[in-house]
Amino acid sequence: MKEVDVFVDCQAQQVVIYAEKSDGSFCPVQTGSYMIKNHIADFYEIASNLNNSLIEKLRSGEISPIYYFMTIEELTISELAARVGISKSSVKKHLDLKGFQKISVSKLRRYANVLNIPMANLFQIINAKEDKSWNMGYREEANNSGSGLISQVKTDNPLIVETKIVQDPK
Amino acid sequence: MSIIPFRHVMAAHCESGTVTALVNHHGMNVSEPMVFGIASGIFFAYMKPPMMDFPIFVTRSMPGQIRKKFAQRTGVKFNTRKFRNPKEAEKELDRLLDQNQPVAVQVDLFYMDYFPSWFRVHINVHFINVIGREVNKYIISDSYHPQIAEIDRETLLKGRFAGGSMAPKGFMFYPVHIPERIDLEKTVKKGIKSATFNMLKIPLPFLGVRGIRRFADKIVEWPGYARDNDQLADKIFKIFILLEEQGTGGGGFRFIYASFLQEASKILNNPKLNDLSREIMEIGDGWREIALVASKIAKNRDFSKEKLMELGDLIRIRADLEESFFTNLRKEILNSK
Repeated sequence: MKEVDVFVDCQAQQVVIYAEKSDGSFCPVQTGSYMIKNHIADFYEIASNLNNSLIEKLRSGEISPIYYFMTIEELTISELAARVGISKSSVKKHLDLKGFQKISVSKLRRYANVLNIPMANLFQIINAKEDKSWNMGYREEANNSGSGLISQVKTDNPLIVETKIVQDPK
Repeated sequence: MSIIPFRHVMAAHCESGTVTALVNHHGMNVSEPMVFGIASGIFFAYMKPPMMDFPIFVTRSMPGQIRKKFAQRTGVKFNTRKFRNPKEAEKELDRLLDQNQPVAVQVDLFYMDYFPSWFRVHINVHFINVIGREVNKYIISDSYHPQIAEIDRETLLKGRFAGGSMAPKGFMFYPVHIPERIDLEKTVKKGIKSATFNMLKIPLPFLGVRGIRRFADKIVEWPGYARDNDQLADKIFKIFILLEEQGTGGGGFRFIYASFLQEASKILNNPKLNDLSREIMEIGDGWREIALVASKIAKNRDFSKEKLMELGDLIRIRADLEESFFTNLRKEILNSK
Protein backbone atom coordinates (compact mmCIF):
# COMPACT_ATOMS: atom_id res chain seq x y z
CA MET A 1 0.00 0.00 0.00
CA LYS A 2 1.47 3.35 -1.04
CA GLU A 3 1.25 6.38 1.23
CA VAL A 4 -0.72 8.30 -1.38
CA ASP A 5 -3.36 5.53 -1.56
CA VAL A 6 -4.19 5.59 2.15
CA PHE A 7 -4.91 9.31 2.39
CA VAL A 8 -8.52 10.06 3.35
CA ASP A 9 -9.68 13.57 4.18
CA CYS A 10 -11.69 13.03 7.36
CA GLN A 11 -10.82 15.08 10.44
CA ALA A 12 -13.70 13.59 12.45
CA GLN A 13 -11.78 10.38 12.96
CA GLN A 14 -8.09 9.82 12.45
CA VAL A 15 -6.35 6.45 12.16
CA VAL A 16 -2.80 5.27 11.65
CA ILE A 17 -2.10 3.07 8.63
CA TYR A 18 1.32 1.68 7.71
CA ALA A 19 2.16 2.41 4.10
CA GLU A 20 5.07 2.61 1.70
CA LYS A 21 6.70 6.01 1.48
CA SER A 22 8.43 7.31 -1.64
CA ASP A 23 11.81 6.13 -0.30
CA GLY A 24 10.50 2.54 -0.08
CA SER A 25 10.21 2.46 3.72
CA PHE A 26 7.04 1.22 5.42
CA CYS A 27 6.04 3.91 7.89
CA PRO A 28 3.02 5.05 9.89
CA VAL A 29 0.72 7.50 8.13
CA GLN A 30 -1.90 9.42 10.08
CA THR A 31 -4.98 9.75 7.93
CA GLY A 32 -8.75 10.01 8.06
CA SER A 33 -11.13 7.09 8.51
CA TYR A 34 -12.35 5.68 5.19
CA MET A 35 -15.37 4.18 6.91
CA ILE A 36 -16.48 7.41 8.55
CA LYS A 37 -15.82 9.42 5.39
CA ASN A 38 -17.75 7.06 3.12
CA HIS A 39 -20.21 5.08 5.20
CA ILE A 40 -21.21 7.06 8.28
CA ALA A 41 -24.63 7.68 6.70
CA ASP A 42 -25.11 3.91 6.31
CA PHE A 43 -24.29 3.37 9.97
CA TYR A 44 -26.69 6.13 10.98
CA GLU A 45 -29.38 4.55 8.84
CA ILE A 46 -28.82 1.12 10.40
CA ALA A 47 -28.78 2.61 13.90
CA SER A 48 -31.84 4.72 13.18
CA ASN A 49 -33.85 1.78 11.78
CA LEU A 50 -32.94 -0.33 14.80
CA ASN A 51 -33.74 2.50 17.20
CA ASN A 52 -37.12 3.19 15.60
CA SER A 53 -38.21 -0.43 15.61
CA LEU A 54 -37.13 -0.86 19.24
CA ILE A 55 -38.90 2.34 20.30
CA GLU A 56 -42.12 1.04 18.75
CA LYS A 57 -41.76 -2.22 20.68
CA LEU A 58 -40.99 -0.25 23.83
CA ARG A 59 -44.11 1.88 23.35
CA SER A 60 -46.31 -1.16 22.88
CA GLY A 61 -44.83 -2.91 25.90
CA GLU A 62 -43.40 -5.74 23.82
CA ILE A 63 -39.91 -5.22 25.26
CA SER A 64 -38.49 -3.69 28.43
CA PRO A 65 -36.13 -0.70 28.55
CA ILE A 66 -33.35 -3.15 29.52
CA TYR A 67 -33.88 -4.97 26.20
CA TYR A 68 -33.82 -1.64 24.38
CA PHE A 69 -30.53 -0.41 25.84
CA MET A 70 -28.89 -3.83 25.73
CA THR A 71 -29.59 -4.06 21.99
CA ILE A 72 -28.60 -0.46 21.22
CA GLU A 73 -25.31 -0.90 23.07
CA GLU A 74 -24.68 -4.25 21.31
CA LEU A 75 -24.40 -6.26 24.52
CA THR A 76 -25.34 -9.92 24.71
CA ILE A 77 -27.40 -11.34 27.57
CA SER A 78 -24.38 -13.07 29.08
CA GLU A 79 -22.20 -9.97 28.75
CA LEU A 80 -24.84 -7.75 30.37
CA ALA A 81 -25.39 -10.30 33.15
CA ALA A 82 -21.67 -10.44 33.89
CA ARG A 83 -21.39 -6.66 33.92
CA VAL A 84 -24.38 -6.11 36.19
CA GLY A 85 -23.34 -9.03 38.38
CA ILE A 86 -26.51 -11.12 38.11
CA SER A 87 -27.41 -14.40 36.42
CA LYS A 88 -28.24 -14.74 32.74
CA SER A 89 -31.66 -16.11 33.65
CA SER A 90 -32.39 -12.96 35.68
CA VAL A 91 -31.44 -10.73 32.75
CA LYS A 92 -33.66 -12.82 30.46
CA LYS A 93 -36.58 -12.19 32.83
CA HIS A 94 -35.88 -8.45 32.85
CA LEU A 95 -36.11 -8.20 29.07
CA ASP A 96 -39.92 -8.22 29.07
CA LEU A 97 -42.26 -5.87 30.84
CA LYS A 98 -43.50 -8.40 33.38
CA GLY A 99 -40.01 -9.16 34.65
CA PHE A 100 -38.89 -5.54 34.42
CA GLN A 101 -41.60 -4.47 36.87
CA LYS A 102 -40.17 -6.77 39.51
CA ILE A 103 -36.62 -5.36 39.46
CA SER A 104 -35.52 -3.66 42.67
CA VAL A 105 -34.36 -0.05 42.59
CA SER A 106 -30.86 -1.06 43.60
CA LYS A 107 -30.64 -3.51 40.70
CA LEU A 108 -31.99 -0.89 38.29
CA ARG A 109 -29.25 1.41 39.49
CA ARG A 110 -26.69 -1.25 38.64
CA TYR A 111 -28.19 -1.63 35.18
CA ALA A 112 -28.16 2.14 34.63
CA ASN A 113 -24.55 2.33 35.78
CA VAL A 114 -23.44 -0.35 33.30
CA LEU A 115 -25.52 1.13 30.47
CA ASN A 116 -24.15 4.57 31.34
CA ILE A 117 -27.54 6.25 31.43
CA PRO A 118 -29.48 8.11 34.14
CA MET A 119 -31.82 5.70 35.90
CA ALA A 120 -34.74 7.93 34.89
CA ASN A 121 -34.14 6.95 31.25
CA LEU A 122 -35.28 3.43 32.06
CA PHE A 123 -38.76 4.93 32.46
CA GLN A 124 -39.01 7.42 29.62
CA ILE A 125 -38.40 7.95 25.94
CA ILE A 126 -36.80 11.29 25.21
CA ASN A 127 -37.81 12.07 21.67
CA ALA A 128 -35.60 15.05 20.92
CA LYS A 129 -32.01 15.95 20.46
CA GLU A 130 -30.17 14.59 23.46
CA ASP A 131 -27.07 15.35 25.36
CA LYS A 132 -24.86 12.64 23.90
CA SER A 133 -22.79 12.41 27.04
CA TRP A 134 -25.75 10.69 28.66
CA ASN A 135 -26.86 8.36 25.95
CA MET A 136 -23.93 6.44 24.54
CA GLY A 137 -26.06 4.42 22.18
CA TYR A 138 -27.46 7.54 20.59
CA ARG A 139 -26.21 8.27 17.10
CA GLU A 140 -25.86 11.98 16.59
CA GLU A 141 -27.66 13.36 13.55
CA ALA A 142 -29.51 10.09 13.00
CA ASN A 143 -32.86 11.30 14.23
CA ASN A 144 -32.48 14.86 15.35
CA SER A 145 -35.87 16.02 14.19
CA GLY A 146 -36.70 18.16 17.20
CA SER A 147 -35.33 21.63 17.71
CA GLY A 148 -35.00 21.44 21.49
CA LEU A 149 -31.86 20.26 23.15
CA ILE A 150 -32.41 18.05 26.16
CA SER A 151 -29.72 18.20 28.77
CA GLN A 152 -29.55 15.74 31.63
CA VAL A 153 -27.38 16.74 34.53
CA LYS A 154 -26.42 14.55 37.46
CA THR A 155 -27.33 15.66 40.97
CA ASP A 156 -25.83 14.65 44.32
CA ASN A 157 -28.76 12.27 44.68
CA PRO A 158 -27.77 9.10 42.75
CA LEU A 159 -31.39 8.34 41.88
CA ILE A 160 -32.29 11.76 40.50
CA VAL A 161 -31.23 13.41 37.29
CA GLU A 162 -32.17 16.95 36.36
CA THR A 163 -33.58 17.05 32.84
CA LYS A 164 -33.89 20.42 31.18
CA ILE A 165 -34.55 21.90 27.79
CA VAL A 166 -31.85 24.25 26.68
CA GLN A 167 -31.65 26.38 23.60
CA ASP A 168 -30.18 24.71 20.55
CA PRO A 169 -26.92 26.59 19.84
CA LYS A 170 -27.46 25.91 16.11
CA MET B 1 -2.84 20.10 38.08
CA SER B 2 0.04 17.75 37.33
CA ILE B 3 0.92 16.54 33.83
CA ILE B 4 3.97 14.42 33.19
CA PRO B 5 5.94 15.54 30.10
CA PHE B 6 5.07 12.70 27.72
CA ARG B 7 5.44 12.37 23.96
CA HIS B 8 1.95 11.67 22.68
CA VAL B 9 1.78 9.97 19.29
CA MET B 10 -1.05 8.18 17.57
CA ALA B 11 -0.34 4.52 16.98
CA ALA B 12 -1.82 1.76 14.86
CA HIS B 13 -2.82 -0.40 17.80
CA CYS B 14 -3.67 0.44 21.41
CA GLU B 15 -1.61 -2.21 23.18
CA SER B 16 1.55 -1.98 21.08
CA GLY B 17 1.17 1.81 20.99
CA THR B 18 0.81 2.06 24.77
CA VAL B 19 3.78 -0.24 25.44
CA THR B 20 5.93 1.58 22.85
CA ALA B 21 5.15 5.02 24.29
CA LEU B 22 5.83 3.85 27.85
CA VAL B 23 9.19 2.17 27.20
CA ASN B 24 10.32 5.07 25.01
CA HIS B 25 9.38 7.45 27.82
CA HIS B 26 11.82 5.46 29.94
CA GLY B 27 14.68 5.85 27.49
CA MET B 28 14.25 3.08 24.94
CA ASN B 29 14.13 3.92 21.27
CA VAL B 30 11.86 1.35 19.74
CA SER B 31 9.20 1.58 17.04
CA GLU B 32 5.65 0.26 17.34
CA PRO B 33 6.24 -2.35 14.58
CA MET B 34 9.28 -3.67 16.52
CA VAL B 35 7.21 -4.04 19.69
CA PHE B 36 4.47 -5.75 17.69
CA GLY B 37 6.85 -8.03 15.81
CA ILE B 38 9.06 -9.02 18.75
CA ALA B 39 5.87 -9.90 20.63
CA SER B 40 4.60 -12.03 17.69
CA GLY B 41 1.45 -9.92 17.53
CA ILE B 42 0.39 -11.14 14.09
CA PHE B 43 -2.22 -13.88 14.15
CA PHE B 44 -5.59 -15.02 12.88
CA ALA B 45 -8.53 -16.70 14.59
CA TYR B 46 -12.12 -17.29 13.57
CA MET B 47 -14.68 -18.57 16.06
CA LYS B 48 -18.26 -18.53 17.21
CA PRO B 49 -18.28 -18.52 21.01
CA PRO B 50 -21.60 -19.85 22.38
CA MET B 51 -22.30 -16.66 24.35
CA MET B 52 -22.08 -14.48 21.24
CA ASP B 53 -24.76 -13.93 18.63
CA PHE B 54 -22.31 -13.72 15.76
CA PRO B 55 -18.99 -15.30 14.78
CA ILE B 56 -15.89 -13.19 15.39
CA PHE B 57 -12.47 -13.04 13.81
CA VAL B 58 -9.26 -11.50 15.09
CA THR B 59 -6.04 -10.72 13.27
CA ARG B 60 -3.74 -10.33 16.26
CA SER B 61 -2.67 -12.25 19.36
CA MET B 62 -4.65 -12.28 22.61
CA PRO B 63 -4.95 -8.94 24.43
CA GLY B 64 -2.15 -8.60 26.97
CA GLN B 65 0.20 -10.88 25.04
CA ILE B 66 2.05 -8.04 23.30
CA ARG B 67 3.19 -6.59 26.63
CA LYS B 68 3.93 -10.02 28.09
CA LYS B 69 5.90 -11.40 25.14
CA PHE B 70 7.76 -8.15 24.54
CA ALA B 71 8.83 -8.15 28.21
CA GLN B 72 9.83 -11.83 28.18
CA ARG B 73 11.93 -11.48 25.04
CA THR B 74 13.63 -8.16 25.72
CA GLY B 75 14.09 -8.36 29.49
CA VAL B 76 12.04 -5.20 30.05
CA LYS B 77 10.26 -5.57 33.39
CA PHE B 78 6.77 -4.19 33.94
CA ASN B 79 5.11 -3.82 37.28
CA THR B 80 1.54 -5.09 36.84
CA ARG B 81 -1.40 -4.94 39.23
CA LYS B 82 -5.06 -5.81 39.36
CA PHE B 83 -7.43 -4.58 42.06
CA ARG B 84 -10.60 -5.69 43.74
CA ASN B 85 -11.31 -2.31 45.25
CA PRO B 86 -11.79 0.60 42.80
CA LYS B 87 -10.84 3.18 45.41
CA GLU B 88 -7.57 1.39 46.03
CA ALA B 89 -6.90 1.29 42.27
CA GLU B 90 -7.54 5.01 42.02
CA LYS B 91 -5.31 5.75 44.98
CA GLU B 92 -2.44 3.74 43.52
CA LEU B 93 -2.82 5.45 40.15
CA ASP B 94 -2.70 8.86 41.85
CA ARG B 95 0.36 7.85 43.87
CA LEU B 96 2.25 6.77 40.74
CA LEU B 97 1.27 9.90 38.81
CA ASP B 98 2.45 12.04 41.71
CA GLN B 99 5.81 10.28 41.35
CA ASN B 100 5.89 11.32 37.66
CA GLN B 101 5.25 7.76 36.52
CA PRO B 102 2.96 7.47 33.47
CA VAL B 103 0.78 4.40 33.90
CA ALA B 104 -0.97 2.19 31.35
CA VAL B 105 -4.45 1.06 32.32
CA GLN B 106 -6.91 -1.37 30.76
CA VAL B 107 -10.40 0.02 30.16
CA ASP B 108 -13.71 -0.58 28.42
CA LEU B 109 -13.46 1.66 25.33
CA PHE B 110 -17.18 2.49 25.62
CA TYR B 111 -16.60 4.83 28.56
CA MET B 112 -13.79 6.79 26.91
CA ASP B 113 -16.02 9.76 26.19
CA TYR B 114 -13.35 11.85 24.45
CA PHE B 115 -14.17 9.73 21.38
CA PRO B 116 -17.25 10.38 19.22
CA SER B 117 -20.28 8.20 19.95
CA TRP B 118 -19.94 6.11 16.76
CA PHE B 119 -16.49 4.97 17.83
CA ARG B 120 -17.40 3.77 21.29
CA VAL B 121 -18.21 0.10 21.68
CA HIS B 122 -18.11 -2.17 24.71
CA ILE B 123 -14.69 -3.75 24.47
CA ASN B 124 -12.87 -4.43 27.70
CA VAL B 125 -9.36 -4.65 26.28
CA HIS B 126 -8.51 -1.09 25.36
CA PHE B 127 -5.19 0.21 26.72
CA ILE B 128 -4.37 3.85 27.42
CA ASN B 129 -1.61 5.76 29.18
CA VAL B 130 -2.59 8.00 32.06
CA ILE B 131 -0.09 10.87 32.17
CA GLY B 132 -1.47 13.33 34.68
CA ARG B 133 -4.29 14.35 36.92
CA GLU B 134 -6.35 17.28 38.11
CA VAL B 135 -8.81 17.37 41.00
CA ASN B 136 -11.61 15.61 39.13
CA LYS B 137 -9.92 14.63 35.87
CA TYR B 138 -7.19 12.48 34.44
CA ILE B 139 -5.00 13.38 31.48
CA ILE B 140 -4.87 10.61 28.90
CA SER B 141 -2.54 9.69 26.06
CA ASP B 142 -4.66 7.34 23.94
CA SER B 143 -3.05 5.85 20.82
CA TYR B 144 -6.31 6.23 18.88
CA HIS B 145 -6.80 9.91 19.71
CA PRO B 146 -4.96 12.63 17.82
CA GLN B 147 -4.44 14.80 20.90
CA ILE B 148 -3.92 14.36 24.60
CA ALA B 149 -7.38 13.96 26.14
CA GLU B 150 -9.11 14.43 29.47
CA ILE B 151 -11.57 12.19 31.24
CA ASP B 152 -13.59 12.55 34.44
CA ARG B 153 -12.22 10.67 37.42
CA GLU B 154 -15.50 8.81 37.86
CA THR B 155 -15.76 7.84 34.18
CA LEU B 156 -12.23 6.45 34.04
CA LEU B 157 -12.93 4.40 37.14
CA LYS B 158 -16.07 3.05 35.49
CA GLY B 159 -14.03 2.06 32.43
CA ARG B 160 -11.36 0.42 34.60
CA PHE B 161 -13.95 -1.60 36.50
CA ALA B 162 -16.41 -2.56 33.78
CA GLY B 163 -17.47 -6.17 34.31
CA GLY B 164 -18.04 -8.90 31.74
CA SER B 165 -15.67 -10.89 29.57
CA MET B 166 -12.02 -9.95 29.97
CA ALA B 167 -12.99 -7.45 32.67
CA PRO B 168 -10.12 -5.02 33.31
CA LYS B 169 -10.33 -5.31 37.14
CA GLY B 170 -8.36 -2.09 37.42
CA PHE B 171 -5.38 -3.62 35.62
CA MET B 172 -2.41 -1.28 35.33
CA PHE B 173 1.22 -1.59 34.26
CA TYR B 174 4.35 0.49 33.95
CA PRO B 175 8.01 -0.34 33.27
CA VAL B 176 10.35 -0.66 36.22
CA HIS B 177 13.45 -1.94 34.44
CA ILE B 178 14.82 -1.36 30.96
CA PRO B 179 17.94 -3.43 30.20
CA GLU B 180 20.99 -1.43 29.15
CA ARG B 181 21.60 -3.75 26.23
CA ILE B 182 19.08 -5.91 24.41
CA ASP B 183 20.16 -8.68 22.06
CA LEU B 184 17.92 -7.51 19.23
CA GLU B 185 18.99 -10.26 16.83
CA LYS B 186 17.92 -12.95 19.26
CA THR B 187 14.64 -11.25 20.23
CA VAL B 188 13.67 -10.55 16.62
CA LYS B 189 14.31 -14.16 15.63
CA LYS B 190 12.29 -15.43 18.58
CA GLY B 191 9.42 -13.14 17.68
CA ILE B 192 9.37 -14.30 14.07
CA LYS B 193 9.72 -17.97 14.94
CA SER B 194 6.85 -17.82 17.38
CA ALA B 195 4.62 -15.91 14.92
CA THR B 196 5.18 -18.49 12.19
CA PHE B 197 4.43 -21.28 14.67
CA ASN B 198 1.17 -19.60 15.66
CA MET B 199 0.10 -19.12 12.06
CA LEU B 200 1.09 -22.59 10.82
CA LYS B 201 1.50 -25.15 13.55
CA ILE B 202 -1.26 -24.83 16.14
CA PRO B 203 -3.37 -27.94 15.46
CA LEU B 204 -6.76 -26.29 15.86
CA PRO B 205 -9.02 -25.65 12.87
CA PHE B 206 -9.90 -22.09 13.79
CA LEU B 207 -6.43 -20.67 14.46
CA GLY B 208 -3.74 -19.33 12.14
CA VAL B 209 -3.95 -20.11 8.43
CA ARG B 210 -6.57 -22.78 9.22
CA GLY B 211 -8.64 -20.03 10.83
CA ILE B 212 -8.48 -17.95 7.64
CA ARG B 213 -9.76 -20.97 5.68
CA ARG B 214 -12.56 -21.47 8.18
CA PHE B 215 -13.51 -17.80 7.80
CA ALA B 216 -13.59 -18.30 4.01
CA ASP B 217 -15.84 -21.35 4.36
CA LYS B 218 -18.18 -19.93 6.99
CA ILE B 219 -18.88 -16.45 5.66
CA VAL B 220 -21.78 -17.81 3.57
CA GLU B 221 -23.48 -18.87 6.83
CA TRP B 222 -23.57 -15.35 8.27
CA PRO B 223 -27.11 -14.50 7.07
CA GLY B 224 -28.33 -17.37 9.29
CA TYR B 225 -27.10 -15.57 12.43
CA ALA B 226 -28.66 -12.18 11.67
CA ARG B 227 -32.01 -10.99 13.04
CA ASP B 228 -32.51 -8.84 9.90
CA ASN B 229 -30.69 -7.36 6.92
CA ASP B 230 -29.69 -4.27 8.88
CA GLN B 231 -27.84 -6.33 11.46
CA LEU B 232 -26.19 -8.38 8.72
CA ALA B 233 -25.11 -5.18 6.95
CA ASP B 234 -23.71 -3.86 10.23
CA LYS B 235 -21.71 -7.05 10.83
CA ILE B 236 -20.36 -7.14 7.27
CA PHE B 237 -19.40 -3.45 7.47
CA LYS B 238 -17.48 -4.41 10.59
CA ILE B 239 -15.27 -6.72 8.51
CA PHE B 240 -13.86 -3.50 7.07
CA ILE B 241 -13.48 -1.92 10.50
CA LEU B 242 -11.83 -5.00 12.01
CA LEU B 243 -9.39 -5.32 9.11
CA GLU B 244 -8.61 -1.70 8.45
CA GLU B 245 -9.53 0.71 11.16
CA GLN B 246 -9.96 -0.85 14.57
CA GLY B 247 -6.35 -0.39 15.52
CA THR B 248 -4.72 -2.68 12.96
CA GLY B 249 -2.51 -0.28 11.00
CA GLY B 250 -4.35 -1.51 7.90
CA GLY B 251 -4.59 -4.87 6.13
CA GLY B 252 -5.41 -6.70 9.37
CA PHE B 253 -1.99 -5.91 10.97
CA ARG B 254 -0.20 -7.19 7.84
CA PHE B 255 1.12 -3.68 7.00
CA ILE B 256 2.62 -3.12 10.44
CA TYR B 257 4.19 -6.59 10.25
CA ALA B 258 5.72 -5.64 6.89
CA SER B 259 7.26 -2.61 8.58
CA PHE B 260 8.62 -4.87 11.34
CA LEU B 261 10.19 -7.26 8.81
CA GLN B 262 11.81 -4.33 7.03
CA GLU B 263 13.47 -3.31 10.31
CA ALA B 264 14.28 -6.95 11.10
CA SER B 265 16.01 -7.30 7.74
CA LYS B 266 18.43 -4.55 8.73
CA ILE B 267 18.99 -5.88 12.25
CA LEU B 268 19.67 -9.42 11.01
CA ASN B 269 21.43 -8.17 7.89
CA ASN B 270 19.21 -10.47 5.85
CA PRO B 271 17.90 -9.04 2.54
CA LYS B 272 15.52 -12.00 2.15
CA LEU B 273 13.47 -10.59 5.04
CA ASN B 274 13.13 -7.36 3.11
CA ASP B 275 11.68 -9.34 0.18
CA LEU B 276 9.32 -11.07 2.58
CA SER B 277 8.27 -7.72 4.03
CA ARG B 278 7.20 -6.66 0.51
CA GLU B 279 5.32 -9.94 0.16
CA ILE B 280 3.32 -9.47 3.38
CA MET B 281 2.63 -5.86 2.35
CA GLU B 282 1.03 -7.20 -0.84
CA ILE B 283 -0.90 -9.79 1.15
CA GLY B 284 -2.16 -6.89 3.29
CA ASP B 285 -3.29 -5.11 0.11
CA GLY B 286 -5.44 -8.18 -0.59
CA TRP B 287 -6.97 -7.96 2.89
CA ARG B 288 -7.77 -4.32 2.18
CA GLU B 289 -9.50 -5.40 -1.03
CA ILE B 290 -11.56 -7.90 1.01
CA ALA B 291 -12.49 -5.05 3.39
CA LEU B 292 -13.63 -2.91 0.47
CA VAL B 293 -15.64 -5.76 -1.14
CA ALA B 294 -17.30 -6.42 2.23
CA SER B 295 -18.23 -2.75 2.61
CA LYS B 296 -19.79 -2.78 -0.88
CA ILE B 297 -21.82 -5.91 -0.06
CA ALA B 298 -23.07 -4.24 3.11
CA LYS B 299 -23.80 -0.93 1.38
CA ASN B 300 -25.77 -2.61 -1.43
CA ARG B 301 -27.44 -5.11 0.94
CA ASP B 302 -26.50 -7.80 -1.57
CA PHE B 303 -26.29 -10.87 0.67
CA SER B 304 -26.79 -13.47 -2.05
CA LYS B 305 -24.93 -16.75 -1.64
CA GLU B 306 -22.91 -15.99 -4.78
CA LYS B 307 -21.71 -12.66 -3.42
CA LEU B 308 -20.71 -14.13 -0.06
CA MET B 309 -18.98 -17.05 -1.80
CA GLU B 310 -17.07 -14.52 -3.86
CA LEU B 311 -15.95 -12.86 -0.63
CA GLY B 312 -15.07 -16.29 0.76
CA ASP B 313 -12.95 -17.04 -2.31
CA LEU B 314 -10.96 -13.83 -1.81
CA ILE B 315 -10.36 -14.81 1.82
CA ARG B 316 -9.29 -18.31 0.75
CA ILE B 317 -6.66 -16.82 -1.55
CA ARG B 318 -5.26 -14.91 1.46
CA ALA B 319 -5.04 -18.23 3.35
CA ASP B 320 -3.01 -19.82 0.54
CA LEU B 321 -0.71 -16.81 0.24
CA GLU B 322 -0.21 -16.55 4.00
CA GLU B 323 0.55 -20.27 4.26
CA SER B 324 3.28 -19.88 1.66
CA PHE B 325 4.54 -16.62 3.20
CA PHE B 326 4.79 -17.91 6.78
CA THR B 327 6.35 -21.19 5.59
CA ASN B 328 9.08 -19.28 3.77
CA LEU B 329 9.55 -16.91 6.69
CA ARG B 330 9.88 -19.85 9.09
CA LYS B 331 12.45 -21.54 6.85
CA GLU B 332 14.42 -18.32 6.58
CA ILE B 333 14.59 -17.88 10.34
CA LEU B 334 15.26 -21.54 11.19
CA ASN B 335 18.04 -21.69 8.61
CA SER B 336 19.69 -18.44 9.68
CA LYS B 337 22.64 -18.67 12.04
